[in-house]
Amino acid sequence: MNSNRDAALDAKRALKDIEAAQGRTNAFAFYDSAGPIVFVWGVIWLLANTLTYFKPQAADMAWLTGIAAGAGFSMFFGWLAGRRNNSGSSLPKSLLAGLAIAGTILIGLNAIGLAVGVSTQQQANGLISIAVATAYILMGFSRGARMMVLGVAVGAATVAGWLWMRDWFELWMGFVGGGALILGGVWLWRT
Amino acid sequence: MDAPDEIVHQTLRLKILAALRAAPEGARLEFTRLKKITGATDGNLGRQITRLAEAGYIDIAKDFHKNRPRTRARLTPLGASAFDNHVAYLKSVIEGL
Repeated sequence: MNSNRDAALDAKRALKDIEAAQGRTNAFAFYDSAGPIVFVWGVIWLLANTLTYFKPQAADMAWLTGIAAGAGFSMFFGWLAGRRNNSGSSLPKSLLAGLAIAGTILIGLNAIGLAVGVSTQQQANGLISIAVATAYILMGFSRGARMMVLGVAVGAATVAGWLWMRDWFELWMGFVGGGALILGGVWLWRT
Repeated sequence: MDAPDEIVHQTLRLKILAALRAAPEGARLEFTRLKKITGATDGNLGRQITRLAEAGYIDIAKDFHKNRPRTRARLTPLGASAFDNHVAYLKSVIEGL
């Protein structure tokens, strides 16, 4: 009887080891794909926020160009990762998936913006930054703890900037928020 | 299956095979990545990888990447089948209690 119970305990332990090893393998593979994308968005945050701070009249153009470039890079890196992982994802398929995700995010953010009464560029910037941080934290639950750490860092930077650096918010978000993404991207990449 | 596969059964070898099974089909995992996943030392990991390769469960490729030696491993169909059978065995042990 006892030997049966010991065998079952050993089997449970072995299955847990398997689950842990496979979880880590999947997380590392995700970090490989996400690292360059997070890095690129960090550079875009840095440039677009800095430009918004020094040249507010160029903010719309800076963000539109930045978002278009970021979406393009994200789709390209996503397609490269798919090719590396033999997932068979074609470039048009990656483009469609990327556009669908970007569209959903834009519609969702606009709906939230309308619901909470966002009226200034700075408020929109704060809302988007919090949305990104939340998305990373949620992603962390299923894709790997490092995404959660990154989300907490971006969220904390956004809240701190909003509370104590409102006059320099864009500059703060560019260097601290964008910097966190750049460093986070390298951290994921080098796993 | 009423007996464990003695090659797969060993803890570190089981972790190595689990990691390779989770990788995309045909993809190779680097030695350094396997080390991080399993938490093993270089020496122990090297020994168990060799043991798995001798059994035909994994296939090892050695080359140079960015002027550094690189060792990568991938699961063979025999290894995938042995791993799946072992997992089925483990589940049957738990269910049989």
